[in-house]
Amino acid sequence: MSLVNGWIVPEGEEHFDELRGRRASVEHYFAAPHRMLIVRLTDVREISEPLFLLCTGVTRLETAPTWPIADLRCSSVDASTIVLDDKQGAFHVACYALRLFSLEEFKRWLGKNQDVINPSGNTFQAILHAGIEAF
Amino acid sequence: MNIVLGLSESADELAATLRTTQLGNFETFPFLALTARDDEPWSGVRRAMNAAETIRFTLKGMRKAVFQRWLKHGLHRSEPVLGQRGWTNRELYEILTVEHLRVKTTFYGELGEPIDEPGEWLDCP
Repeated sequence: MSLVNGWIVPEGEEHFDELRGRRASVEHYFAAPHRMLIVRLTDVREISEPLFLLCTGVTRLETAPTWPIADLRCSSVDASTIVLDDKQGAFHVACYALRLFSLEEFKRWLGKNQDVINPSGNTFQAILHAGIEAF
Repeated sequence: MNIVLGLSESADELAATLRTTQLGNFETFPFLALTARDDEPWSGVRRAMNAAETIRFTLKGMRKAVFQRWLKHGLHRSEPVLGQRGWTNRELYEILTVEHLRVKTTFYGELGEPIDEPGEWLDCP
């Protein structure tokens, strides 16, 4: 597994052992503009990093709202698609790119759009209602 | 390195076609090889547009009337916000109004065919 500008580039079947036992909650999926899935990663006892898994360019999405991560792995990769699986959590996602963020990294990456991680923020409501139309 | 823009499903579709029919790499968002680690989403798109050898923009699924309504609302004056509608319009506006981006862009129509640049989309009635 390598990184390109912070984005994870799997080289074949890879396991995310550092995430084993973490609790995953689907924070949000928004279709526009780039079909992004945001999963929040927490622990029962204490918060540890990373805190967010972001998948973008999602073309297939099967997941429960929350699940304990057992064996999250990249099961296949080609030029345009990474397939992520966690069989115990019934998590199956095909996407173009993925990245793990700490809270601070995620805030920096979001820039002006930090309300996306604040459910009470206006942006979150906008995202909830975002469609795939260009306007 | 080349980038492909448009509504997400249409951009994916065009990128897949280009990868099988033309030589070279065709990246879609988040443009892994052309961005910087600390780029925010919109700054990353702009960096990728500037650095790309060519830009391929598909208009599939986009409508002139919708774009012009977006333009009339003045939404082209601000940076797009993640998750808000209009992101693709903002990308199109950037390309049509920045000369060095426009000249290296090929536009594609509903059937994936190359078409003339849609400069008239900027002419609001």
